[in-house]
Amino acid sequence: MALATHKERSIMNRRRPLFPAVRWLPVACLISCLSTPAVAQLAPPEGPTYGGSLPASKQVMPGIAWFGVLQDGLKQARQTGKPILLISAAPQCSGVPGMW
Amino acid sequence: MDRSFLADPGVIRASRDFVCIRTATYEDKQEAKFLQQTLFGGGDQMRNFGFCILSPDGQRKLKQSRRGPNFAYRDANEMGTDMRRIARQYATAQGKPIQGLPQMKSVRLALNVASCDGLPCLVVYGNEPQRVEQLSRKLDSVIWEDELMGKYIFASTRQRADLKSIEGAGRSQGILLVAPNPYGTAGQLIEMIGGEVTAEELKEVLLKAAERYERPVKEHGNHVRYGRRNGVNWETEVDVPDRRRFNNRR
Repeated sequence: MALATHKERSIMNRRRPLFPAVRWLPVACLISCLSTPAVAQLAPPEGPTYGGSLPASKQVMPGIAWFGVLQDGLKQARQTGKPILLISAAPQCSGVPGMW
Repeated sequence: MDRSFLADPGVIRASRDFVCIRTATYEDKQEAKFLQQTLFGGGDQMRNFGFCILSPDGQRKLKQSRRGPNFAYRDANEMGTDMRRIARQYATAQGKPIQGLPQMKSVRLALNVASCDGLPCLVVYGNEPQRVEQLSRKLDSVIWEDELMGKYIFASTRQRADLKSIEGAGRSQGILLVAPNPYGTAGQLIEMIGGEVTAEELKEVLLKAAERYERPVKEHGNHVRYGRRNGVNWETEVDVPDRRRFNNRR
């Protein structure tokens, strides 16, 4: 009996250094998941918005000047030699216009 | 649409060395083919939103995300830094300035996009191609100045019928300054700018109008809910996969 207790104690002593690491594994996984980007479609905006890419400004502010027609923009890029920032966005949500 | 990245002052400054194109997804069949190939990897499924940086000839992808820039960069600062790095690669001593009216495909789409952006809309109206060209050139001479960039959405037309949705639009030719309604399905004329206006006068009018313009506030859930309840429906040129799924579920 005393020998078994000694054996158990010996096993526990051997395992103890591993125990904290195992205990923190789920937390480490959670931190890792939270620190990487989500893979879902962009969520709809939350809360009130003044629209577009300047949602918090009540005033009209300078912003990115977008070509709205693909061919017009591609032609400008060829003529000016400037690289292209291309974005495609749907000006409707569930068929309702007026909101990206 | 992502907000924090494209609203960032560093990204906006960096965008001045780029040709910025924002196409309206599902609104043009030809564009859809290009977008499917370039943004969505050639699959048959379009998405509402895509982002990419291309070389000036449009052939080489320098940065890509099948969704927003937030899937390509950690934050807006990283995006601005990368844009400046890319722009330096293509900078030339005799860099040509961007010219031309960055207009939408139609007045209908321009009103919708202006409403989405919470911005006023400028519609060039002339019954002759030369007249439209002349008025567009006049706008072009002022809108690329820093104070005015990104403050308006543009369209042009020779069809009087295209102005039916704009309350207050008469028969006169010129540049119509329009406030879109909350759903972008119609608009209200704020000011009619005649063709005889000088570039200096035009710039002043546009600056003052932008300063006076009150951007309406919206809330996404309510906007969509009330829109559906009131039968506001936007017809797209290309099928929207999500909407097809949604309609099948009903």
